[in-house]
Amino acid sequence: MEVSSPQEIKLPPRLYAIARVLSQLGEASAAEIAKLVGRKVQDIMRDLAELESRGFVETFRKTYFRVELSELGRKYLSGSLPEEVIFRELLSRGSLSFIELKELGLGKDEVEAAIGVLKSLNSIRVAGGRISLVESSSQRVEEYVQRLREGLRRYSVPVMLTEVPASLWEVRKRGFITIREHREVFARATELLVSSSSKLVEGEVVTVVTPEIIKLDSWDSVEFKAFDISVELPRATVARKHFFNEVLDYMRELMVSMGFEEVKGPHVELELWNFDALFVPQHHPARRPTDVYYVDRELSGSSSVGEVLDAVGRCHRTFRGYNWDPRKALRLVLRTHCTSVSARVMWERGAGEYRVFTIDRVFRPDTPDPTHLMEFHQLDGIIVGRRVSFKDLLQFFREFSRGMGLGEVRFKPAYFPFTEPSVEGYVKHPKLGWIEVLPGGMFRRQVLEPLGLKELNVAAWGIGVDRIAMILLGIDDIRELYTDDVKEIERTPIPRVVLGGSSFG
Amino acid sequence: MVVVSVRTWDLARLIGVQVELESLSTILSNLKLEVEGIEADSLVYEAPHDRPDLYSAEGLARAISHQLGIRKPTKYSVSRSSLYVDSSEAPSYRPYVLMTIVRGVELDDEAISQLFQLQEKLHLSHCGNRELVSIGLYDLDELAFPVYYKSVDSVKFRPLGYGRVMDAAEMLVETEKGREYGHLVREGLYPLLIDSRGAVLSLPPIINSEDTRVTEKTRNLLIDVTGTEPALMASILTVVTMAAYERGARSVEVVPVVGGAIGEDVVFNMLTGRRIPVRASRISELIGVELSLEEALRDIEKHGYVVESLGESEAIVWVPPYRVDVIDEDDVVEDIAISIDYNRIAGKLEPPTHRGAVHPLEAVSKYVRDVLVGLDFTEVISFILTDPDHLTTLKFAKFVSVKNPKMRIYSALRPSLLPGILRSLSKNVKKYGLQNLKIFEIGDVVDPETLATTRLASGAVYGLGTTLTDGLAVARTFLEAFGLRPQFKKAEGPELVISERFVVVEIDGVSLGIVGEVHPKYLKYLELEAPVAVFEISVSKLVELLAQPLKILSA
Repeated sequence: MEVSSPQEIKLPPRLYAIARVLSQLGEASAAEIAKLVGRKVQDIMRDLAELESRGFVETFRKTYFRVELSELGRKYLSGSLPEEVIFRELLSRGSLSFIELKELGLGKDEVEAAIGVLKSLNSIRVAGGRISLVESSSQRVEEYVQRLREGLRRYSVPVMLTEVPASLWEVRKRGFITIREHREVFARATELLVSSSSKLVEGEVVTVVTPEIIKLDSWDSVEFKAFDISVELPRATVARKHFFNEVLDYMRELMVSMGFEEVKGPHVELELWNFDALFVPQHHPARRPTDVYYVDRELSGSSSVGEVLDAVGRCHRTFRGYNWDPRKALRLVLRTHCTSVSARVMWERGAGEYRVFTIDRVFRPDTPDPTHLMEFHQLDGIIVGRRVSFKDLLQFFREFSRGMGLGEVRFKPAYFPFTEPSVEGYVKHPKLGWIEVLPGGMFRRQVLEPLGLKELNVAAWGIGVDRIAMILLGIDDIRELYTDDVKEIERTPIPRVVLGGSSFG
Repeated sequence: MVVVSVRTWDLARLIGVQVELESLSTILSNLKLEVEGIEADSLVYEAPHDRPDLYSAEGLARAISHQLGIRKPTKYSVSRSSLYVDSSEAPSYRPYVLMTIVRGVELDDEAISQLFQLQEKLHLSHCGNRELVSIGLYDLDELAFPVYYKSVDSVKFRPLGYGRVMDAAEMLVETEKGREYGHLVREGLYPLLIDSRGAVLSLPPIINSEDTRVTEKTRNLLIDVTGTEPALMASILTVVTMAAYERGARSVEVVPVVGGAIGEDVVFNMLTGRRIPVRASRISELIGVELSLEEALRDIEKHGYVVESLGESEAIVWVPPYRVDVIDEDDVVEDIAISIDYNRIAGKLEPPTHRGAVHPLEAVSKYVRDVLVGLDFTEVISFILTDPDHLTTLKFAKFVSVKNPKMRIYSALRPSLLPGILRSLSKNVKKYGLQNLKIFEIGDVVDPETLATTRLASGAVYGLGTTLTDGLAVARTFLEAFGLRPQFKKAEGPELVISERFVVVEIDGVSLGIVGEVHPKYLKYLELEAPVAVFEISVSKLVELLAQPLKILSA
């Protein structure tokens, strides 16, 4: 027993109040106790159990019958009973046929019951299809009716009985009264409670667990204030990683799981790597100032690109048939795609069997609006090898789409200056329909050979990551991906696909 | 991508049968065309840059006829004309001219406007906005041969679409084309195409003459290209010639060029078409599907090719002259893949030969992120392109800029993450009335000295009572989580910080970053009312340090 001092027994406020009531009354029903301590019955049931477990009370159940006049009973009580009606008719008419009986406006069951009662009083007889009165039986009937009326009147307010006499069950059969069985919990004070009632002390209601409660083991002598979950809950402020970076990290994991090694390249790039090495002619529209950011710097110092520069130039002159200008290849731009990184990696690693990818920012002159930004992300990757084919590229797209939860992919022919064949993969968005998300192709030999890759095939792609992230996050405006609003960052849920679900629906 | 508009009735007339546009969706997709809109009698579509032959109704109708199989690809007979062009006095800065004659065309308004659309689309895309090549079309029967392409010191003629004769100076100022393309010619060295009687054809690359214009009565067309890139000129001329040929022409002639730096062979050879060997082995290797050569080439005529010979392992394929996109065998292989249907090409992706890996910079960034989030900092993102005025106000004087920005506020490449962090801090504090805030960003900056991309992790602590110590504690905890012992050294700080409240973070003598307290004058500019401590650590350097062999830390 957790008692803080031998002289006192500390009880939580509710237990204390119940114990006080019982030590005065000795025994009471749970409903009575609840009323006296100002609680609902269901609220004190656990308290009674608690007091019982501590030996202060004993609980037991009693069965009660609640007897009350029914609607029918009330009607007859204020008017005439069926027996009275029949008897009165017999008095005035001497006898009644069964047909006449029916015309008295009583229910069939009621008529049968009343006839049964009158018969048992020996006040009627039935012969030749008619009912007739037994002489000098009026008094018996009147006495009976009076008794019944008085009996019924007692139940015009509900009466609780511990036992129900057989006569009442009979009356119930006729539907004059209702009898409902009630079981009620009772509690009575034990010897222990009676002997220790002077030592009882009221404990306190607490809202917060204090170090004292823990230290002094006093959790049983306090009452924890009930928590109201209907009130508006506060939000916890949470420091989170940015949701867009979470998506990018998930893509990294997906690529790594497919055997790709991540690589990096610079944002300020030579046109050589961004365009020339990718066999994009110098007069191609993609190289105009409306499509590329030019940087206000020049390449400083000696570049280590001499050899590749010559090889690239020869390739342009031979296959594109124009006067390729090396100075243009050495201008600095902000890379317009991450395919520049793929070109650099192929030049650095040369021939071999490898799979690499990069996820990074690219730049194109644009004015921000819900679908455009001057700066966005691409996932570029290559599969390099002797036996790599277009089929592998398509299969990569199918597996990537599955990994991103984007479902089935449909392919259409496409054009990129550096790949042949070229393809655009579409996935089905529930609202937007088929949307382009997976562009790629097989690098042309005019790209591969100047970089030192001979007799090899390279599957390559440059996927616009932002659009996929928007689908995953349910965002319609690309600018929201780059938000620095801490509340938005706090409240944006982690995309389902990152958690193993699907991106759509 | 080039947007082209054609009339459906013109298309039907060229194809020879009425076709429902809806039934063409696969064919248009196979031709890499994207339908922009179908309205009344016009079809608007986007054509890829490498298929200039599809920039007009003539080429589109030809391609659709082949795809539908209602027309077999045919070779064209090309001859050398008895007429010639003399380019011995061509201007040195625009030295080349090539010409063809297309005889027997039937032109109406729509046909003429299609040819002009083709010409204009080519000028804008392949011709480098006329700098590399410009195209002209004339009524052959209005001209007296030979014609001359020469440099002249003055010109006088009636420009196309104008009612009166002008000289060069007037034309460059008063005509729209003159103002747009005048910079491509040199004063006193005007390139001129002129006939034997002195009738002007055009002042390339600016404007044609009204007197030799193409009309509905024109039956024989003269087409010229002038410019600086012969091979490009030849392919442009081929595309235009082959389009004009579709208007009921009987023959194509190449006009000999006399006295020029290049002869007409370049275009003559192109117009006769090329032959490319296509190997069965290359088809299966590139597409990844095993096919016999015969199966592979079964539908190749639908792309305009003619199979000249079919062997066991190699076929010789004739490439129609207008397919200027075809460079080698692989271009034919793509058309084979298209006729198979990309969606039917499937199989297993070969397993990787190496294990995959995240780049160390990203692996470390991820853990930096974890540690900073654990330290109660919220991660923000911003753009690399930023506002130069914001940078200079915060005294970041050195940064790289773009030459051709669309908006000034996105024209500088951030040299540090701090200006962005401080702007985000100010924005959030004001928007939500926050008393305290901790934010960070991990991102790339462009080093103004080396132009290299560098990864940084920067953050700010805001709130009453914030001091340098708050920044130092973060820097210390963060680096200790990576097993590093930072030393903090006082140093001359940038103007952004209070000079007495600034330190450099070092590991074994290597500077890794900075911690400081923002100077009140910049807090005022940022409309912040409580102090801010900032830190900026180089993740790129952190990765280098972590790559070194582990040293035993002394106690």
